[in-house]
Parts: sequence; structure tokens; C-alpha cells
Amino acid sequence: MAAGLEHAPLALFTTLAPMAAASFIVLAYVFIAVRPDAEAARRLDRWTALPAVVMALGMGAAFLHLADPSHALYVFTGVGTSPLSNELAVTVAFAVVALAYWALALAGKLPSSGGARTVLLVVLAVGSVAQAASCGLAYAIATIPTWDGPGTVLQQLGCAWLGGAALGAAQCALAKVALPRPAVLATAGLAALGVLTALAGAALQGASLGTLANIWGPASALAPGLWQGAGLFAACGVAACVLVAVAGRRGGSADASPARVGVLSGVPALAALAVAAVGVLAIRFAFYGLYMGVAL
Amino acid sequence: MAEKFATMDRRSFMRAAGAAGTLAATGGIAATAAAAPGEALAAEGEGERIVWTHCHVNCGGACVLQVHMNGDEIAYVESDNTGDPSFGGFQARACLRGRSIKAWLTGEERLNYPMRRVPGTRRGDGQYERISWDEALDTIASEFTRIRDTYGNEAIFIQECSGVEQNIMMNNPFFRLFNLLGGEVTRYGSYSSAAISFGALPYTYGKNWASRSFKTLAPGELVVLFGDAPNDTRMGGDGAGYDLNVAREQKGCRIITIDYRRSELATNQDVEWIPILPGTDAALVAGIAHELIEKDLVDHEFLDTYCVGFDEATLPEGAPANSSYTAYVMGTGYDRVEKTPAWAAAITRVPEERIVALAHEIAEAKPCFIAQGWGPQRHTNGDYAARSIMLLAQMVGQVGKPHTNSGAREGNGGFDLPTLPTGKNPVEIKFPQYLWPEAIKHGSALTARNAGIRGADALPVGIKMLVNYGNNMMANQNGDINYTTDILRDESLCEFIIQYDVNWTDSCNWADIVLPDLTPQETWTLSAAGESNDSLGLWLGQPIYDAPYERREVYEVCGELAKRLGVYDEYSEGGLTRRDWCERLWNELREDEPQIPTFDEMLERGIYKEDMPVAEKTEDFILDPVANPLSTATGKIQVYAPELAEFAAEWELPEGDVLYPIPAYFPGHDGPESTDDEHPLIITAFHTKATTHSSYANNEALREVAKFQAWINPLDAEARGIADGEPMLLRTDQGEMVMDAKVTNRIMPGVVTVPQGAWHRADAEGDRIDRGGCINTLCSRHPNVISKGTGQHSCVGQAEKVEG
Amino acid sequence: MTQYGFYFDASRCTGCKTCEAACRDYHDLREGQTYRRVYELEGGGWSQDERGCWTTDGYTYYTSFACQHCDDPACARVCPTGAMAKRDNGLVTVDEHRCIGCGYCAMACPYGNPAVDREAGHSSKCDGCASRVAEGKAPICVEACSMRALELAPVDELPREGERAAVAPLPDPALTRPNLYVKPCHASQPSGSTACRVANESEVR
Repeated sequence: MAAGLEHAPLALFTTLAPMAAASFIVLAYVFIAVRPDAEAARRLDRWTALPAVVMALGMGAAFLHLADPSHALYVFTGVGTSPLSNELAVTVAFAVVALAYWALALAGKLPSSGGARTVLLVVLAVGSVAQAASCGLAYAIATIPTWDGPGTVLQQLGCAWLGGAALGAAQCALAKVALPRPAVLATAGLAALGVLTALAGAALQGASLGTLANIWGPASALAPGLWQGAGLFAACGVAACVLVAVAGRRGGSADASPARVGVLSGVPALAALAVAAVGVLAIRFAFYGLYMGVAL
Repeated sequence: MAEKFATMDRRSFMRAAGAAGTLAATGGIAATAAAAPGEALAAEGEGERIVWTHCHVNCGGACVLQVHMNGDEIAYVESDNTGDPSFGGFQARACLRGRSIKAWLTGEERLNYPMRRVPGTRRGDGQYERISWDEALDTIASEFTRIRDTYGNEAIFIQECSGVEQNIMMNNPFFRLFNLLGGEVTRYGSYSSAAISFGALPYTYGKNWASRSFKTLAPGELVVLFGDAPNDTRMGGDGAGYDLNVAREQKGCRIITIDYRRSELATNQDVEWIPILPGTDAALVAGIAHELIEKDLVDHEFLDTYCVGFDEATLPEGAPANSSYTAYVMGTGYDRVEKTPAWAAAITRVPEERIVALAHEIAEAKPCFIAQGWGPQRHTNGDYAARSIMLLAQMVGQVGKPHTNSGAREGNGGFDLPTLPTGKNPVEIKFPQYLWPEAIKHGSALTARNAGIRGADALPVGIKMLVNYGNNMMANQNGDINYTTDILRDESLCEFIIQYDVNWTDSCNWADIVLPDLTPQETWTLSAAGESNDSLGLWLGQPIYDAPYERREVYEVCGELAKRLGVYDEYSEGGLTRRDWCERLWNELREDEPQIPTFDEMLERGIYKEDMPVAEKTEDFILDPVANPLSTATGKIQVYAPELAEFAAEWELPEGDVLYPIPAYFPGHDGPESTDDEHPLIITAFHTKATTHSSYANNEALREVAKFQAWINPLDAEARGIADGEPMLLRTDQGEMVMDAKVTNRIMPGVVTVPQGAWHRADAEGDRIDRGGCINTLCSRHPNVISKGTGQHSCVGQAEKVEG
Repeated sequence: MTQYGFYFDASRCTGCKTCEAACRDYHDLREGQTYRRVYELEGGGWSQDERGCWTTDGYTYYTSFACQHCDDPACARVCPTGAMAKRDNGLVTVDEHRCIGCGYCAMACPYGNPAVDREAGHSSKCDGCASRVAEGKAPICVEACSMRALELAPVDELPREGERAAVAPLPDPALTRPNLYVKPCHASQPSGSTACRVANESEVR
């Protein structure tokens, strides 16, 4: 896992950006299934700043990773051929649509439910899956056999869903929007699905190590780092699922004023966000620690 | 370190080739066209210029450097790219050392100003302050005068100048100056080849004789090398390693290397390595001899005609019965032990079957080229080792004939370029070089019988003034640094010490005055190729820039001293400069070699090369041994040397040492049989690709490419928990040092070897643990028996894992 | 298109590392930077007979390589900006005005050649001494090799003894189709061999 530290900016990017994107799945569900009133919608729109900030931090980390960011626009010339260009293009496209959605919402141009809002949120929810998948695919490099497998994409999707669920729950709590039981279950379920998916990905990747070796030794020597990262991720993931559920239940059961919803659900939701982020970062670092060239 | 070791200097080569009828006057020599530097200049960018100079340390090569300059900044370095670039062609391509000179020239350790030890501090404290050149020179002149007047010229000693070998100047200016002022005590021997050159060759062939370069190998020939690693030591594009590689590929020569480590000769090249315990070469030869004698495979005709003392019948007059080599081998000699291959196997750790097979291979190969490097002879039993390997060649009659070697080191030769004349030294007393610390400490207690003093029965006085120019002897390259620096610290012994160098080495910390030199690239220099090989090349180096800071070169500095001491006119012959001497000596050479260009042409072209025809000759002595005797006591090749028998009767030897007239095996002080529970490992040293001795050892550019690491076998490393690349502590009775380990199969079990040359770095007043990795922290002072030269390769100790 | 390629005669190499030193000098590389590496591989072991004598089946060999200017370069494949690309002579070089220094080329190259030079703000690697080649000169490593073990030329003009590099520690050449042709030495092990180990890790890593 320590070997992955040199990739810290990339780990931050692949943690934060997919998490921010996937939070729109929760948001889409809330707007489509829960149909908040106009006031609640306004608060949710205001607190869309939270995923926006997370996305900006993630993209900032990626930017800082570059030795010369001033040439960054050339990245788009590689779309279609370079998996990294694809990743960045999908992320930027997602961010543009999300920003457009947010600007329209803040300007009051979107209905509190249905219509253009639904269309945009569905696009963003689906887009978030594409974004996470593109992050995973960027590491499908034939000359790096420890990365080049389905486990990489599964881990990235799982991480996005866990982080996105926690982030979405936090956004709702901060916006003082009480979620009904099915919505709570759906959010916690998304988080749980994320944990299982990422762990499945890690298991697939771990299983592939046994047959791989280069001149420095067998890839299995790297496995302990993966298991440590995955273990921490699993523990954090389970805690995050529970905290998301607790936050939803406390916010929904109180039948109280929005201010009280915020207090009751905000603390566990933010805690869920924090542990989810820690878990995801742990498994991302573990992923980078698995870097092993085919020969050297 | 290397005195001229040429076996076939230019003139003798010409004679030899003429005798063989292959050369008519100079017409047989084809000049190789060198690219005109003008062309190269035209191809370069605006403002960039090329200065021709050369690498200039003590590997035996002197490879060409073309320094690409941008103003006063070095852009990059090219080497010899003139003439034939193909495999087998002659291009003096510099190795990594010369190629990395840019970082070295601008290194942080460069000396820029004269310094003196801060008054009131002791030698070794390392506190120095800048002084003016005038003050430095005045001090040196007055100390010289004081010491000469107090103790006599015999108290003044000029150490060798290993760091600037192989050019017309070296440290000759100091000799030239001091010789005008009554002279100085001098040394004989060398750190490179004391045992073979002074303890073996004089008593075997009279001098170095019949050694040939690898260029002379015949197609398919068997080459047997003992401790010879030309691909580690002489890596240049016209070096011995290159020639051997060419012969291996183009002539299909089969090569066997007998060595305790897998040198670069036996890596990619298909060369057989026979691992042998260090210091046991003479035992291996005895075991082979037993097989040759028993199976009647020796060349009786050769031994009877040309040699004395191989068997009882050819012993010289006065030699006692059973003192021949045959008697020694067959069990009737002084120790009554039969030297069977099984006996040799137990000592050398070479399997008996391999010894027997090797004997037959060598006996059947005609011709066979047997040579040794200078590793085997740098042991406390080195005189014997060197002579025994020569004897192996003699036993099978493979000496003095075409495609053979003497059994000594492979030969070399080139233009016989004169050097700055040093005049006549009125003092004729000499001592063995290795014993200079003892000459300081014990002075007149060193005698002809106990220390090999020549020219007198004893030293009249100890060394009171020590001039170190271009060397790192005091605290790096001399055996047992702790012992040596204890002597140097005592100012009542050696009263005045100068260190004059290009870098602040640890040796500077033991000097009273430190002077900043120019590197050879920063001044005029003229050198001949061919110190390590047969190469006809001449290199004229010009300063790459105006000398920065207050660095000054040695000829001028000695001229300034000469002014202060009143002999400047004689010293400078009316004001000649260093450049003038290059021109004068060039013109002297040109009188003998009229085909070479004029000096003015050389100023333009930088280098001059000629193809050297291969000499395939039979030595005169072989053709007619009566008419052309060797310069030994008997005029023949001496298996039994009567001079050594005399020494044995007269000399006072240190306890444990023995002096045999034949090349018998004896293990020597701290030798292969000195290991015990406390000292279970043989610790020895090798020449590493990253340095030449300690020259360049501070160059970070080189250290990154080729690390200083001590080699240890995985079996020994695992037993001690030592991991590859991790530090380990090496300990002997002399000292301790910490160095990274290279855990490798390339070294035989039971042996650790250290790349020599790393800079000593220890707290002189504290724990004295050397964290720089200088092998001489570990080596003893025990010299070899006959030459009194260095036995630095004989050492036993322990290795330990270092935590952290 | 002319494709230039390197030739390495492993049977001549003595592991002196002059190629690497010359490269670092010519390209003025800082500490820690190198465009060429010389790997030292070793294998085998030691056995002792009942008399204490030693025999070894060990072997050691060097492999010197820089960039292979592959037909299908992994570095260019992942490069997002097109800065890393094959040029007219088949040499793979970095367009410093395009490169963002993302480091994907460094991760992807199975020969470990490109590295991000953060100080310079771009990826840097062996360019086959393209400017020297354009002037009709040999790359500095080739000119420096005392043993004449290196060459660079259009691949169809390289010595015929060379085979597309398939010796350890190099990867299977099918992966990127390197333009490095190697004449193996007696000790060379095949790509992917785990019987040998890198004996100079601290010098190449």
C-alpha cells in the first residue's frame, strides 16, 4: 500500500471525482421518487455545492499531478485513442453538464420535480457510471498486467457508489431534507452495492496476482497491500452503510422541523461521508500499490 | 603507481619487427587518418568549440577526450571517433570514467586556493584556512631549506603521483627542482606491481621479458589468465580488455580465467571461470606441475635448455640437493610433502578433477598464452605467486615464442615519449615504496637486511619532509590507514607535509600545506598511448578554459619555488613553460619518429595514431641462449634463483615469513590459511569500473552508475542476515568499516571483496569506523617477502549485518 | 517509413556502463535521471564437495538498453496529448510543447524508459540522439561503446545476428514490437525467465 503513495494525487482524483459524480444518483432518486417541495428543492440545489466542491477538489488534484498543466487542453486530442483522454473527457463532460444543471437550478429555471430537471438528473446519474467506468478503464494497460483486468473497473464503480451514496446522504441531511424509508434503504443499498462491487473487483484483481511475475519477483508479493486496503475499505464501507441508514432513519422518523432533521441526520451523514472517503482512499492507494510492469 | 612496465617499447618493437623481416624502415607503418578537427568544429553550433585533451589517471590507458565547450562551460564530452570504428579498429574510446569528467571537474571537493592547517590544531583535525600563494610558497621554500640543513637531503621524500600518471610532466618538476638542490631519498617498487616487478621478474627473467599483448594471439589459441581482469581495469577502446574481446570473437580463442571472483571477463563473454581461493595460485601451479611431471607432459627440452633449477640436473652450482622445483613438487623437497592435485585442491578449493584436466589442457595447447594480472602478486606471498605462474608457462615451453607470453602480465608498447628531465639525484639511497610510513617512524632502523634498503646499509634518517603531489596516499591508498595516520599525526616524526592535488581528499587532512592543482584537462599535457596495450597513439591536450580560482599547475609552481631557492634559470632552462616543454619533448620524439606531424599540426589535430603491426617473433634468447643470455645471475630463466638463496641466508625476515629460491607455495601473513573463528572470511579488494584507484571516486555521476559495494556470496550473506544493497560492517585486526553489500554468486564462498578506491571517511579521533568504504582501513602493513612491496590483498576478518 | 533500431551484441558487452555514462553526460541528465540502463542478471549457485572444493553453475550477463522505439509503443498508446509519438525515422520522441507530464508513458513502458521530469515540466526519454542521427552521426551511446556492442541504424541494415529482443529482463517482444535487436550471449536467459535475478538493483532502479 505504501508503494501507492507516490500516486497520491491520482488516488485523490479517482476517489473524489467518481464520488461526486455518483452522488447525482442519489440526487436523481430523491428528485424523482421523493419529490421534495419547492423549499426543500431550493435547499437541495444550494447544497449541490457539496458535490461540486468535491468534484473540483478531485479535478484539482489531477491538475496538480501534471508536470505542466498549461498544455492540458491537448488532452482532448487523444479522445478515442488514449484511455486517459477518454477518462478526462468523460469527467469534464460530466462536470459541464452538472454545472449546467446546477446553474439552471440555482437560477430557478428548473421545476422542483419532473421535466428538464428529471432529464438532466437521469443523464447525470447514468453519466456518473460512465465517469467511474472511464476512470477504471484508464488503467487497463496491457503492459501493466496487475491492473489490466475487470477488477479495476469494478473497484472504481464500487468506490463511486459507496462514496456517492454517502455524499448524497450528506447533501440531503445538510439540505435538511428528510428521506422516507424506501429512499433511505435505496441510499444505504447503493452504498452496500458499492462495497460489494469494489470488494469483488479487489478479489478478482487479487486472484489474478498468483500467476503474474516480473523480474523483480512475483506479483503475489504485492497482495498483502491489496488485502490491507480492501480490509480497511470493507470496514469503512460497512460503517458508512450503517451511518447512512442511521442518518436517514433519524431524519425521517423525527417528523420534525427541517432544522431538527439537519441536526439529527447531519452528524451521522457527515460521519458516513468521512468513513466512506477514508475507505475509498485506502483501497485506491492499495490499487496503485499493485503497479507492476510486465517485465521491469 | 605504474612505473613504465612496457615489455615492448617503441624502439625494441621496431627492432623486433625488423628482425622478423616484417618491417622495412618505417614504411610498414600505415598512418591512420585522423579526422581534421576543423570538420568537427564546422558541424557544431555557433559558439561551441572542441578542445582535445585526454583522460589522465592511472589505469594504464590515456583515452582521448574531445571536450565540447560553450564558453567556459563544458557542454559534453566525446572521445576518439577518428579512424576505423569497427570491432578490431583502433579508437582510444574513453570508458565511463573519462566520459563522466564534467561532473568531476566542477565537483564540490575541488581545491581552489592554497590552504594551511590552522595554527594550534593537530594533523587530522581537519581545520584549514586560506592563504596566499606567496605565503604558501615562502613556507615551503623555508621548510625545505630548514629540513635539508638540519637533517640532510635524505630526509626529503617525493611520493608517487598516481593521479596524474602517464604524461610528460607527472611529478617530475619536484624531482627536477630538488635534484638541483642536493636531491632526495627515493623509492623503488610500486603499489601496482611491486612483487612481480621487483620480487619476481628480476630473479626469473632478469627483467620483464617476452611478454606480449593480446593482439599477438593466434587463431583458436588457449589463453589462461590468473587474476587478470582487463575488462575491469583497462576498459578503454584501445585497452587490453578490448583486444582480448576481439581475439575471442575474431580468432576463436578459448579463454580460462582463474580468479576468486567472476570478473567482467567472464560475464557476457564466453569465458570459463575457475574459482580459486585468493592467495593460493602457487599451490594450484604446484598441483598442475605434479600432474605434468607424473604424466611426463613437461617440455624437457625447453626446461633443460633455457631454465635452471626445474629439476635436480639443472640446479645452479652451490644449490643444495633436493632444492629443485621437481623435488619440491614430488615430495623430496624442503617440506617432504608431495604436491598432488588433491593436495592443491584442499588449499585452492579448486576440485582435483579440474586441476588434473587443466594440466592436460595446458600441456596439449600449442601455442598457449599464460598471463597474470597484478592481483595475485599483491598478496603477502605475491612474489611466489607471480613466479609460480611464470613457471607454469615455462613448464610447457610456452615462453619467448610466437603467440606466447612470459607468464607475467600481458605486454604492451607504444611511442617512447620522453618526459620532463629530472636531472641527476645526488642521493642514491632508495627504500621500498610500501614502507614509507615505516621510513618516517623508524628511520635509520630500516636496513638493507630487514627492509630492503638499497644504496646504503640503512636509511641515514627518517623522512622529515613529505611531498604528496597528485596522490591520495596518506589516508586512502596505503595499507592500514589507522596505523599510518597515527604516524602522521606525530609532528616530531615527519615535520612538514605538503598535499598538492585537485580535490580535498582525506589525505589533505594530514598535511600542513594544501595546494590546488589544475587537472590535466585544465592545462597542457602530452601523453602516449600504450601503457596498457600495444598502441601507437599520441595525444596533445590543451587547456579547456583559463584556470579558474587560484589553481596552478605543478611545473609553474615548482618554478616559483625555484625562484625562491635560487635555481630558477637552471630549473626552467631560461624560462621554458609547460607548453614549451610539450613542444620540445614532441620535437625530441620526432627526431626518432620523423613520420609524426609537426607540433603546430598537432595543435590543430589533437591526436595522432598509427596502426601497429603485430609482432610474431621468437626472442633472441630462445634463438641462441648462449649468445643472448638473460640478465639473471645465471643468464637463464631461473626456476631456482641463486640470488634468492643468498637473500635467504642474509636477510632478517619478519616472523612467519620464509624465503625460498623456488616459487613454492607458502600462505603468507593474513593469507588464505589465517582464517579462524574470529576472522572467518578472506577480505580482499578489486579494481572497480567506477574509479581508477581513488581518482574519480568522488564523482557522483559515476557513483550512481556503478556503486561502491562489497561483494559477498549468498551463502555467507544469508548466514549473517546481510541483504543485497544493505550496509554491512567489515572488521579486521586493523580496523572497521561500513559498506553496502552486493550479495552475488560472482564471488566464491568464504571471500569478501571490496572495490578499492572509495574515499576514506572516518572520525580520526572517534570510533575510526570508515563509512566511506576504503579497503585500506582493513589491510595490514605486512609487506611481501622479497620485494617488500604491498601485500594489501592479504587480509582476514569478519562481516556483520548493520542495523538501520 | 524508415524505422531506426538499436542493435546490442550481448556477446561483446562487458558491463562497463560507458554507454550509460556517455548518455547522461551528453544529455546533461541530473542525478537520478537516465535514458539508458545496464542490467546485470545472475543465476545459478554453488556446491561444495566433501573435500571443501567449490564449483558453481552460476552465470552473469549484462543487458544494455534505452528506448526501443517500438513499432507499437506502449508509451504513445496511452499518451493523452499525442506528445509521445513516432517520428518520420521511427524514433519515438516527446514533443515538449505538448506534453503535460501525466506520467502514463512512464507507467506503461515495459522497458522503463520515459520518466517525468517535473523540473522541466514534461516527460523525458531516449530520443535515439535524433539530432545527432540527423547529422549523420551515431547516438552518443553507440559512439562511446568501447566494445562496439551497440549500433543504431535502419532496422534492415542492422547486423543479421540480432533477433528482436527476447532476453531477460526484457519483456516478450510481441507486446510492443521493440526495435531492439539482440545477439544473445552464452548466458542469456529468455524473456520472462524467473531463474535469474537482477544483481544490480540499486544501480538500475
